[in-house]
Amino acid sequence: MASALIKVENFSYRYKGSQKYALANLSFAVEEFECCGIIGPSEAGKTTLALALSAVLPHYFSGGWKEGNVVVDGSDAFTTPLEKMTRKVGFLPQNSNIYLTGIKPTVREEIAFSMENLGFDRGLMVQRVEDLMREVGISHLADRDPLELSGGETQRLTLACVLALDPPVLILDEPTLSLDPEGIRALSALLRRLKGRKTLLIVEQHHEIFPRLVDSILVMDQGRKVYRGSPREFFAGGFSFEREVGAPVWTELYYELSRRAGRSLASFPYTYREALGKLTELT
Amino acid sequence: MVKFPHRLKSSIKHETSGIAIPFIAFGAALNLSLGQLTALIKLPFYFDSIGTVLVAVLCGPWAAILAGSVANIVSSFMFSPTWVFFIPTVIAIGAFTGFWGRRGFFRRWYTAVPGGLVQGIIAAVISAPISAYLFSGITLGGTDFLVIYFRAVGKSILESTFLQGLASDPVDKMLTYLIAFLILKRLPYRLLIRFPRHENILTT
Amino acid sequence: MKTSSPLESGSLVDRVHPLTKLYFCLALVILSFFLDLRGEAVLALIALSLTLLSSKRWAIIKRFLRYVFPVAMVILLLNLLVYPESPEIRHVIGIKVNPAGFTFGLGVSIRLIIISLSLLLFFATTSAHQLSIALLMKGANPRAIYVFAHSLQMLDTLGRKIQRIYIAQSSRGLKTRGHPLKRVKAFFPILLPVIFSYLSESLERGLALEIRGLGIQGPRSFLTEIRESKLERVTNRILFTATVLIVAWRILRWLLL
Repeated sequence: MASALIKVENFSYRYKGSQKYALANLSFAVEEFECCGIIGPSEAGKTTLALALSAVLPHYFSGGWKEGNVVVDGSDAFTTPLEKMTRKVGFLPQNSNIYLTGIKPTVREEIAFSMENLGFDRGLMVQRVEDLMREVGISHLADRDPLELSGGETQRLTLACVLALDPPVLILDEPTLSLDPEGIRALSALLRRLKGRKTLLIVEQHHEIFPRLVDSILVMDQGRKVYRGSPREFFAGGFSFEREVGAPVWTELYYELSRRAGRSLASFPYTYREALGKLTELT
Repeated sequence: MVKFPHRLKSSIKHETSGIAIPFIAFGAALNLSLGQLTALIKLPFYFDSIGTVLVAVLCGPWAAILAGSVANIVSSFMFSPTWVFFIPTVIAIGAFTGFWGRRGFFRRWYTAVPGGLVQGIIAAVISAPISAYLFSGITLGGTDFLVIYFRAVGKSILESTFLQGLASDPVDKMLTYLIAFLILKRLPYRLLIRFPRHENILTT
Repeated sequence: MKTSSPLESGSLVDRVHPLTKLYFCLALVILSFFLDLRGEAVLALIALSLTLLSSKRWAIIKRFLRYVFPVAMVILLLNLLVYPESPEIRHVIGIKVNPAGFTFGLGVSIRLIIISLSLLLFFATTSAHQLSIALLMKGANPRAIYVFAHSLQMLDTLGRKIQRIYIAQSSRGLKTRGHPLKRVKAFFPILLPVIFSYLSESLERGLALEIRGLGIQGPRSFLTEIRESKLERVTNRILFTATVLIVAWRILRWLLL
């Protein structure tokens, strides 16, 4: 039986010097090996949630105010030392360029950075660096300068760096933000390969990658949970349009068409195939 | 290894973790790049301690000492190798500016600028013996003619070097403090609040 | 696969362990303050021959000629002309020169040459990455080493950024020429954008460094290891002992005479 790997209970958070709640009374759980999409308008608290789950909030933003609990793999994210939490949660921040150290001369060295800091056995480290480069498809770049890679290559390198400590949980904050269509395809294929081995939380605006990737979604607005459950129900049921959080482009297309025709549909297509199927029915 | 007292150790750690680390590196690099900017717009100053001063006020004296020392080491790496010998001067600059910032003196220009005057005198006192022994006061720095003048009227090398420093350092440092004050005044709250010693600028 | 020593290329002088190289240069620097003119000449000769043996000899000589040689010459010349400590004056082709000042200036400029050559040799033949690893393996503070390596890397990008903003602001009509006061005013529109962008970058990078374990205390390991050979360890000890002995001997002689 799968168990809840991530538990957030009545969690509220305020940044230092701010009167506004970034997160307000948030509760949800994520099972082991689940892939959960997190969506919501800007200022919804998505990034703050990602920071809380990856234990960055307590260790990096000092002086904030919190209530409730965030527990990841049995450890409280607010009281567990950072070196223990970094082994449990891998966090990929929005700007992957800045995730890189900026001091390592090669891609290989860059990937090894966190393992070096935690004093990994060198043999294990050498092996894992090679494995990770193969996994994300950058073996051919091993001796290149990390700061001279393309956007997509940097993104894959960053992912390899995040995976270096082999954390059971992976949190990605808008991973597709600076990618071209080809890069997005490659990334979503890579994430699908990670499914079943990692518990994934993905903050994402690019909803087209959801149908083939996420098992569930968490929808947020102004620091609160407004929906938690099946993505199909949410998008196909048209709730995403009530909430104005966007949907896969084909779902939006059907919504727009039905709105113009003045007809309300019982359900909208959620996957690309469904949309294609409905279209072929018409022609 | 030297064992530091606990409070000192925790204050060093506070000043050199999180955002401070990349910012200290930036401060060091800024020290070395400002010469390039002043050359571009042809100003007769180097302002080569603005980075150290910003780090001192926002992160504290230990961070500033690190920034200044690193700047001089990098400078030796890239440019003239004798920069390392002036590390004592940058340590004094970091420590004094950290102290001045701690008193909240960078909140107003009329308390910041006098600090630059004191700072300039301190810098001149510490640099003089180094410059005297290493170069007999001659550094091809634009104010060499002062050293030659003082020598010609019979002053010793140390005296001449010190007087030369006294003629140029206080002005440079007062302007540096003023520029640092003007920069700090323009930083938005959301950025300031994230620095280890934000209380130096923000009033609660 | 390259995992062990990156010090495979270059001449023998280049390949020595970074810290052995550093100790050697420091020994030259320290001794230059304690020896007389003849001793200094020997040290200068050692520094010069090592420079010529290194594969980076031209880079070192170029920087030496640019930053050090002019200073050394001016020091020599000025002390020759102005040296109030000694009243003795000779006329050489109608110019008043001071022999004591010449000896003094010679001492200072040779010392400057020794110091500069040995430091240049060290800096030119050691990569920042090698030096960082060598220091970290000796237990140096990882955060301090990071600051050093990152600011070295940043120097390049920062310089280009300042150039870019300067060009952008000038094309928007910012006056960067003319009256000094105008140029002072041009200082801020160039400097502030640079500082702002690096501040927000620092915020994010600091976060990434924390979660990647830079601040964690405890033993570290290294993908690329740089270790001293037995010979290098022996050399370090000999260097240390020799420097201490020579310095002690010189101090003793000063005290006795």
